[in-house]
Amino acid sequence: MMDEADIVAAMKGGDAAAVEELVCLYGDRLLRSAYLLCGNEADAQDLVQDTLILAFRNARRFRGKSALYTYLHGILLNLTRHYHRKRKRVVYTDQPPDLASPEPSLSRDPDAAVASSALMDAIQQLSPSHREVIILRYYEGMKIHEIARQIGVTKGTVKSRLHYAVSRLRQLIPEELNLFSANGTYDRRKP
Amino acid sequence: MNCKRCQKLIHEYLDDALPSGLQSSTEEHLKACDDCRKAFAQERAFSESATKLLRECVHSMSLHPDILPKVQAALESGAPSPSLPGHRRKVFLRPALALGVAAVLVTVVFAMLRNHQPPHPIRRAQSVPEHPQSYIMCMATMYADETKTDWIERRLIVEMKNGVHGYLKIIATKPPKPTQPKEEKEAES
Repeated sequence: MMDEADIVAAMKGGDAAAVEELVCLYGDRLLRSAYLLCGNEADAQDLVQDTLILAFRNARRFRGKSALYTYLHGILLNLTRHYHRKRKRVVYTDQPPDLASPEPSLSRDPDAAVASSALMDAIQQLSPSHREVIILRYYEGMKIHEIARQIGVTKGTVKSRLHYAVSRLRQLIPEELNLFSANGTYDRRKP
Repeated sequence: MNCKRCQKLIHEYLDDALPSGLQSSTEEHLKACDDCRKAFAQERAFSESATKLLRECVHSMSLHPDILPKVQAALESGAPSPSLPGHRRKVFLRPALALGVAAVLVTVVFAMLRNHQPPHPIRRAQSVPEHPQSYIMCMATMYADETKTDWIERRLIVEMKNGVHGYLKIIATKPPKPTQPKEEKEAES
């Protein structure tokens, strides 16, 4: 099993064995993030495939100043933006966007499954830039300055986008789920 | 610290990313202010719930087994993936860029030719006189020498040969001889 430094060195040297290591280490994590960003599993698979190809081809540009996953996730974000632009150009119907229903949850808690589904639906209705900060903040667990560096904007812009995105989620998520309450049903059940 | 400032710093306070002085003053404000404390509690609750729910939502997903061989094949062949933005740009944007540059060049050249005015006074004449002879006199005035009407006539013929504007060809011809009315001719005979 190679460590991160070995994988980077192998990528820069064009060693195809590093692809397998990369997929083992970060494939699923990238896929989950891609799914949350684009809302469609098949497209998420394609996005991850392209991310891995681009990461390998441009490995010489990676200077090691960030973690390897951050580098991969940066490529994924760029590809996701391109995906949204392409999708915007292609779809001309009056139909609502084709929101893929989330994967059936394996959770035993039905309330959590309902809340999870409601949150996913609400996130898919956000604009791509707002969805991006929500995913980076709450799924990837990034700090404000990390998000700012990752998407190339100021910390103020990140906070502003977060503020508007969370306000919008408040409107979209049913109140009875109490996601914004310190004593929400979901939290009470899972202390 | 006021409430507005405190609520702006909530995310960084949660991240523990504030400088120590600011961190402690935010903490003091939160102890003293109910509204800010409530806002802080809501943000922390949403953060925890959202993180758990999003992870719950996608935790069963895994990368399709076909992806690895596809990536390896693409890297070995060196062929670009059809969905990659760089490939698209290569196919569509370059001809579009070339067409755009060509269109701009054509427009600029056309505008330059249209605005071009040669210095010769013949071409600068704004209106066409009714009678060719008066035109020649007009030109002679422009040359400040009315005695040179013959020269101007010759000059016009030269210009005609060189492809000067079409109307010069018409006005440079000598005026037709005036025809006598039939009644006068009969009277004379």
